[in-house]
Amino acid sequence: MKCEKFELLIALQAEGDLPPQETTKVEAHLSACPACREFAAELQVSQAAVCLLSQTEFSEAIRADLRRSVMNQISVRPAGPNFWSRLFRPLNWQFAALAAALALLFVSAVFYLSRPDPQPVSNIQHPNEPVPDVQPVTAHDTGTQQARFDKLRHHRSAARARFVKAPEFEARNQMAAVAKLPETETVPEPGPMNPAAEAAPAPANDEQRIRMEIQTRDPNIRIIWLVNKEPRRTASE
Amino acid sequence: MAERRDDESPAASSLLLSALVSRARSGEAEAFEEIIVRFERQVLGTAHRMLGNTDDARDAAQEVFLRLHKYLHRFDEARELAPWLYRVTVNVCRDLGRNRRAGTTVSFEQQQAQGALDHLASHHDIESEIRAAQERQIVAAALATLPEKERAAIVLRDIEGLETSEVARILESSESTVRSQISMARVKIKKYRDRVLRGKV
Repeated sequence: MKCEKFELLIALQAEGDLPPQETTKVEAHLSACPACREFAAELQVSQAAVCLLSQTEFSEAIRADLRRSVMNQISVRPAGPNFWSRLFRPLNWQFAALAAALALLFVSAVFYLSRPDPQPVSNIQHPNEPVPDVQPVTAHDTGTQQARFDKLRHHRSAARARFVKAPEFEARNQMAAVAKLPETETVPEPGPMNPAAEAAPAPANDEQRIRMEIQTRDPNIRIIWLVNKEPRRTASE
Repeated sequence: MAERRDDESPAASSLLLSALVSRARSGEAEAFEEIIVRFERQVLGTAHRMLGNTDDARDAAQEVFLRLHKYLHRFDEARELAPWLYRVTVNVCRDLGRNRRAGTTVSFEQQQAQGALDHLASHHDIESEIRAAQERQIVAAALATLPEKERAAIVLRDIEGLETSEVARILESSESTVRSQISMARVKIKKYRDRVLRGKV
């Protein structure tokens, strides 16, 4: 260890602030190092000068002046705690912290429960939800089948987006009412923007399809669903 | 530490102080003034060593006693009083030091004019007293150059004579930290003193 590092230890040893094992180490170094011995001797003198400060005495005039000014100010101040301290003094601070935590919990619960219900994004009924008035699904002739189905799926997505975003939407009251549409109601023809739909092969028998149309309370939104009566057979079957 | 009358034992002093605190809490002004008398040297001395001049020390001491009056109802036992006063004194001095350019010291002549050194004139050995006063002035100037925490640690440990553990408790720090601050401060004061005596400052 270098002498510079011993200086700090010597400074502690000078007033007995060093643990015994380190004191032994410092003493061993001091016995071998004249420069550190000189440093230690000078430090003792410096410490004696520091201790002289403890003898500094203030005159009675200064102390009397201090007492007078303090007592004058005290006489105009009420003794003890101020209003707010008195207000909170009887409270145990642990109790106060617990009460604050409970209040926060209560406010959070009220806020959470007062939020609007999550809005449904599909017409899938919750088991506990009342079933809306539904008329029986009827078979409907379809001419273009798969292409129409794809097109309608696109329309349905768009309609659902509008339906969900409508500001006046209310989850239950706005729920779709299934209605049978007149036979004249037609499904939009697939346009040129959807070549895949046009290329889709039409099924041989329209009687195998069921067309289900759902009219929401918004007259501009109608949900149309086409499903096979029988599951479509694959080539492997 | 609290001023104790010559005819008082420590136990009697503690009991008397408890009674004084109790009376002061109930609003008895004389009891509070007696508490000031018992602690004014401690508070004034610590503030003077921390701030380096008598005027600031007096202002700091006044603030400390006003706070004591305000929070006296918190003390259940009088023995808590001295450490609490040290802690508040150090804090008040830190605040004052920041506001008023800490570390300004006054000359020996100014201290004489303020009456802070009145007791010196009554001594026979004027020369040695003057030398001691000069030493004190050098150390006070050296203290003013120290960082706040080192200054507080060495004032409480070496000048007020508290144990390192007590200093750590008052400064709300660990013993090892306080020990490190004390050793740094001692070395710095020694080196400052060397420079002054060799005419480099």
